[in-house]
Amino acid sequence: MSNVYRIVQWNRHKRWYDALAVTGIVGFVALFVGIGKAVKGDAVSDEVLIIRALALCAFLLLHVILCIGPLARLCTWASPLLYNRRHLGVLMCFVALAHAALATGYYGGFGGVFALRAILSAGDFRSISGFPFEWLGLCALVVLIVMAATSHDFWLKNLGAAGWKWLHMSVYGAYALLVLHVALGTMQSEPSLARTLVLLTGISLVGTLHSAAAWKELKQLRAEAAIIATEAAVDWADVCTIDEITDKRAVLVTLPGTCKEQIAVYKDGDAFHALSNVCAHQGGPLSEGKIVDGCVTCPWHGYQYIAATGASPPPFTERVPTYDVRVQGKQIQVGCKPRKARGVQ
Amino acid sequence: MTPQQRKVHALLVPMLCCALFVFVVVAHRWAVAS
Repeated sequence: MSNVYRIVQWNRHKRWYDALAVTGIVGFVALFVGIGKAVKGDAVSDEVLIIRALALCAFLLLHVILCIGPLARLCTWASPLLYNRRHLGVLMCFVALAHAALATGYYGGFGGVFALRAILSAGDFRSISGFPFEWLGLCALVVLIVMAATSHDFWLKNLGAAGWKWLHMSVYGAYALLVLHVALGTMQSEPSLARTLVLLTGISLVGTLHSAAAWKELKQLRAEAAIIATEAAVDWADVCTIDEITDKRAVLVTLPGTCKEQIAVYKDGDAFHALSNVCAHQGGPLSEGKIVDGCVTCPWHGYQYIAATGASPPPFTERVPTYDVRVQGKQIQVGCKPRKARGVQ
Repeated sequence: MTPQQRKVHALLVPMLCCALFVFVVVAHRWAVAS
């Protein structure tokens, strides 16, 4: 959050997150190589074990990254994981790059560009067992590098939130390429039922979590559509009772009418505040955030807004629309028009 | 996320995973058979 340009700034939590991720990666590779040496002895060289450890580590990290989004939509406890997902993505790219570099060097006799050319020119595209699966890994790596290179907020600002998101949704293409890379590579050269089952479990997990998150959103939209049908012409929309909102947290409501604006209604002690659900930074869901230091805090990148006014605390300049809130008995109601549209703000 | 991007998440990603699941099963059978 910045009044100059929108940069995601470092803080203590992010440093801890990154330190933990790097330690986890190094520990995983060391553990994999150690167990590999203990089980297989000298049958497999250290270089091959490291290549495999890096490959598995990058692939597992990719699964974690792909699961964070739908998990955060399903469970509020997963929201903090979104906070540094891009850092995890960049780390995963470095691990994949290390795997590719080491594998190219090792299997190509450490011959630099010539080794890469020799590996890529081998194989037969018409054969299953001899398919040059390295091409699939290389294409996936190019996608991951482009995503890592454009992960900074500088690119988010210059590409626009929607364009940047489209670019970064190519992670699913990279995921598909990597699954094919494994299925036509190591699965063909060393068939293993256990490895296949692990791969199928990973794919199922990603697919199931995305389906469950989509199903939850669909149910929410249907419930809101029913409310809209009955409250189409009213100036105030029912949200919920005061007991149904946890302190410092919010509930999501869709306003009746044609715009179907989504509103985050927050409880802060005895007060209630209603803001647009869309963060001014990257469109993050403010209803999934919480009030920190008196400010509504976006779960994606920590952008903050004063709950009563929708403005970011000085010197920052971001602002989101706010709405009137009233309590009728125990029922919370929110005004159907933003304050700005009525000239209040 | 735009509505189109939400649709991609809701529909295309599960479909992609289903296709990958089937492909991996078939690839495993190829590997075992060959």
